[in-house]
Amino acid sequence: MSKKILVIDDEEMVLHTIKVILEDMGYEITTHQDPLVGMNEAINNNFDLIILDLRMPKKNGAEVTKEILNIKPNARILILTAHPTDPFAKKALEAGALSLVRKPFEIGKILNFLK
Amino acid sequence: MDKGKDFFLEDLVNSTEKLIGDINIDELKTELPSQTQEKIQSEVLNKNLKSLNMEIEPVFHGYVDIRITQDDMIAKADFYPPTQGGMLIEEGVVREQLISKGIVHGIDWDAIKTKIEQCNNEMKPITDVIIARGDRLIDEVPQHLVVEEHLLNKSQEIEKEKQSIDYKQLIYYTLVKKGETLARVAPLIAGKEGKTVKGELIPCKRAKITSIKNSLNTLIEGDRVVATCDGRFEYWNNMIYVKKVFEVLGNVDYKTGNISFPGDVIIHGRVCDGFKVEAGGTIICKEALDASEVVCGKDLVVTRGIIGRNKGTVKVGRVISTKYIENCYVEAKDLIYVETGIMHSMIHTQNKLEMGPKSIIAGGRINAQNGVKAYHIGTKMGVKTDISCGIDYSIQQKIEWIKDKTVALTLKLSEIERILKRKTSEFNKLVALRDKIKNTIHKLNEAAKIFVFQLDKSESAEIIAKGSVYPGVYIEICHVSYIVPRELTNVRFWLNKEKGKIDVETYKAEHFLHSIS
Repeated sequence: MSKKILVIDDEEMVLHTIKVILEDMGYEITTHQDPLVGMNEAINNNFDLIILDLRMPKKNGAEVTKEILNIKPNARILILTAHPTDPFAKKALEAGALSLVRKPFEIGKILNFLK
Repeated sequence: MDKGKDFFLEDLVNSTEKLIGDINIDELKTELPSQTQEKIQSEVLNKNLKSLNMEIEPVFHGYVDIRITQDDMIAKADFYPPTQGGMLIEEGVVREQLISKGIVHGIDWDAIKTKIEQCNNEMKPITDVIIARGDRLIDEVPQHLVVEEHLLNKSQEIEKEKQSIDYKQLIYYTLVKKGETLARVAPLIAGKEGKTVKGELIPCKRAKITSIKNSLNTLIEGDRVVATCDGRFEYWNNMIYVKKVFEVLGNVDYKTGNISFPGDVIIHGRVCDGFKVEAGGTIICKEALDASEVVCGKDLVVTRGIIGRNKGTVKVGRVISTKYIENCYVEAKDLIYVETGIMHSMIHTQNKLEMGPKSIIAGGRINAQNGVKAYHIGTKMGVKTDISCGIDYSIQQKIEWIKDKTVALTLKLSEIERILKRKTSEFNKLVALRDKIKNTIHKLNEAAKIFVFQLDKSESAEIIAKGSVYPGVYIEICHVSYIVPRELTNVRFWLNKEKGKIDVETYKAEHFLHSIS
C-alpha cells in the first residue's frame, strides 16, 4: 500500500508541483488550499506525512501544527517556508513539527522522512 | 661383562629362595616357640621403624630438570641438590638428559659445570639457568634508501596530517632545489641462517631483489639520490619524488593571467579579483585569495583569507586551511579549518568544519557532513545563519538538481495540458510531448528515490559552540530542524534519534574527544 501524504498550501502552483512529482513516485497525495479544510482532513484521516505551508490566510502553519498534534500527537509534520528564520517557523518547531522545508520544496528532505 | 650370565636374575632367585626358606608356615598354625615369636616381633618392629625414619627424612638424589622454549632456541635447567644421604649431581646425569631431550647445539658446558658445583657445595636449588642457546636468524635487508633527516622530519608531517588535530600544521610543504641530496642508497645487508638447540637449521629470508631506480625528477649519483629540478619533495613506498611546482613570485593578476597547472601551485602574493587558479595538486597562497574561481585537486592552504565578493567559488579535493572566509562559495571533500571567521558564505564539506578559538560564523549557510566546531555562531543582530550536518551535500545537490528539473518539467506539463483542453492543430504533437515529459519526470524521480537512501551519512554529527549561539540561528542535523530560541553558551547540539529531535546540552570536553574519535 502506498504511503499517504497531505499537503496544505494556499499556492496552487506549489500544490500542483508537489502532487505531480510525489504521485509519480508512487505516493498517494491529498492537497488542500484552505488550511481549515486541510486541518480537518488531517484530524479525520491518517497520513504518513503532512506538509504544511507556514504563511497561509486564516491560520498559519504553526497554529495548524499545534491543533493537529493536540489531537494526533503522532502525526509527522513538515513545514514549508521561504525563510527558516521566520518567527512562525520557530513556533511550528516548538509545537512539534519535525523540520522546515525550503520553498518551493526540498524533495530530498521530504523523501527522507518517508523512508 | 659376561654376556651369557644374568647376575640380576641370579641375585633375584637366590634372595627369593632365602626369603621362602626363612618362612615356616606350619609354625604359624601352632603355638610359636618363644624364640620364633621374638624373631617375628623384632622383624615387624624393625620394618616399622625403618618406614618411620623414611617418612621423617626421605632420601633424594641430586637431580636436574631441563626444559626447552617453544621455538627451540633456548634450553634452561633447574639444579636441585640431594637430601641427606642422596647422591650429588653428576655431569653425566646432565649429559644423559641433554641427549634424551635432543639438545645438541649451543650447549654452555661452563655454565653447567659451574652450577653443578655450586649446587652440590651450597646444597641450594639453582633455577632458570640457560644451558644451551640456539643461533638467531638474521633476515637479509635489501638495498634501500635512507632519506636525509631534515627532509624526513618534514615529510612525516604529511603522515601526521592524515590523523591531524592541529590543522595549523597543514603547511607541511617541503621544497627542494635542483642538485640537492635527497637520500643515500644503503647497500644490501646479508642475512644469517639460524639454528635451534636441537640442531635444526632455520633458513633466513632472502630479500626481494630490488633496484633503486630514478623516479620522478630524481637521479642516482653514486650512493646519492639528487633532485633534477626544483620542486616539492615526496617520499612513499621507498620511492622519492620531486614534483614540479608552479611558483608565482608575486600576485596573480593581469601580468600572469589565469593559472592552470597539473601539479602544485605556490602563490607568494595575492590572487586578485577576477582571476582563476586551477591546480591538479595543492595550492598554497601566502596572501589573500580574492577568489573568482579556484579549483584544486588536493589541499588549499591560504595564509590570509578567502574573499569571494559574493561571486567567488572555491572547490577543493581535500583539506582547506585558511584564516577567514568571506562572501564566498567554498566546497571541500575533506576537513575545512578556519582560524578566525566565516562571514556570509556558503560552505560545504564532506567531513567537518573546525574553527579556531574565538572564531565566529556570522551569516551564510554551512553544510558540514560530520559536524561543526566553532566558538560563536550567529550574531546579536540575528544575521541569518544556517548550519546543517549529517547529510552528504553532494547527494543533496544531485537531488536538488533533479527537483529543479522536475519542477520545470511539471510547469511545462501544466501548460501543455491546459492547451490540450482547447482544440489545437498540434494536438497529436502535444500529446506526444506530454507523454515524453511524464516519462522524463518519472525517470528523474526514480533516480531521486535511489539517491535519498544515500543521503543520511552521519547521524552522530554534532555542532559544538564553546562561545555563544545567538537567537535565530537555524540548526539542522539529518534534516531535523531546530531554531535557537535565546542566547546559549558552551553548548552541543546533537540528534536524539529516539525522540526524533535535536537535543541541546552543555558542552563538555569528553564530547569533543568523542567527536574527534
